[in-house]
Amino acid sequence: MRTLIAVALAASVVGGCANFGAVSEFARETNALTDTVRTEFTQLDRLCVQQAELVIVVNNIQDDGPLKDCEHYKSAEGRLAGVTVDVLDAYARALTALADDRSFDLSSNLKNVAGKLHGLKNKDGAPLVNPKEVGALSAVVDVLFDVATATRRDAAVKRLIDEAPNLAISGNVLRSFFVESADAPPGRTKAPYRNFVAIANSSVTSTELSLRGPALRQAEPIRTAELYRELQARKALFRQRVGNSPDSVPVKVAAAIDSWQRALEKFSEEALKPDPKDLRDRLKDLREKATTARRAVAGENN
Amino acid sequence: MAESAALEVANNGDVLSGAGLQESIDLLQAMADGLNPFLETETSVDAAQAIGQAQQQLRSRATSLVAAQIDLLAGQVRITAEHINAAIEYADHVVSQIAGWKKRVDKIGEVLDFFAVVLTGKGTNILQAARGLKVALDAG
Repeated sequence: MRTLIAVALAASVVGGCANFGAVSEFARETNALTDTVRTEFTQLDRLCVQQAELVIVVNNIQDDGPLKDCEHYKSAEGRLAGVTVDVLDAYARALTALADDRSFDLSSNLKNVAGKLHGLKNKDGAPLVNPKEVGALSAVVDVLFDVATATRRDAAVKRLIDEAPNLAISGNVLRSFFVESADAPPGRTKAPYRNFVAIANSSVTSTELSLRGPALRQAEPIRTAELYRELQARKALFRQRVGNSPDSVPVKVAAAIDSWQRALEKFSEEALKPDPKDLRDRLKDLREKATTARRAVAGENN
Repeated sequence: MAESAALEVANNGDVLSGAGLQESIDLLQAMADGLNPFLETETSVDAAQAIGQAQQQLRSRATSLVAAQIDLLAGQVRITAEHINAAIEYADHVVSQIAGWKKRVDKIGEVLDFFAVVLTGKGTNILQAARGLKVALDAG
């Protein structure tokens, strides 16, 4: 009897290690995805500011209105997507630490996610997030703070795995920032990313025409040529972000999020099984889709 | 826009949302893009910059509408997103037929003034502004 118990314990320990390997792998791929999304936020912000500065110079605008438009998207829907990425990122880091049997710290910024999201309003004071989305994100954060001080590693991992339904809702919030989605937050018909990129891209086109037009070329030919050259690199980056072709950045990012959702589904079912074959297959697909999205965000041709 | 007698009265909680105003967002962008051909032909820097400034104002307004949720003042005329979209559709139709850039930019100024009133959520004022916009657009 004693031997039987020892064998069962050994099998459980060996199985446990293998399962934590799958946990680590899911965490790594989740981190890769959040890094890509975060990079795209930074990229979009930078492109918006650079274009705004050029518009101010070319059109002799006396205030910082165009720069305020960039702030507008960052402080409204962009903020919701940003908080969502922070939560998913913290979740992945917690999973990695637990799988490696390390302790982990959580940013104090995460502590009041629900309060921050409830306070997230547009400039006219209307809420931008519905209670279901706030509830899902804050539930994940609550569990993260709980497991950060938990003593039983396997129970902590299990609690994180059980958060899959709330993670799925959070993934939908993130996806709806990039592409149209049936379960988008209130008050949207077009994805915020698409609206902002379309407006910025049409600004790029007009600025290019101004710089190519006779007025500025004749008045200041050297400076105009410099600004025109500067605009060309940015124009290419905007082109990769506008529209909904399969090659566009938002569609590739959404495809990676979809793949992450499929992996999450299997993660919740198989993460602690000895041989999570379907999960590994889906993680492989996620790795491919996330790499494609990362290359698109970086402006690399596939 | 229809006469105020035919319009309902706004209640607390009635809003104009960015989702309903998506058509206006797209039309404001179209109006901005419609000025592009003038940039290719105008030889005066002042003219090119005035055109660029009008385009920027139209795009800025479109950006601000993306996440807009405008609370309508209770007790005043209940304006809907369809009313606003119809007004902008009419404006775009008129503006797109104007041949000269200066007159076109002037009319665009009227459209931007109209949107400043829309953002207040005061239905009665919006209705008056819509009537004023139509008069301004129809004036030669």
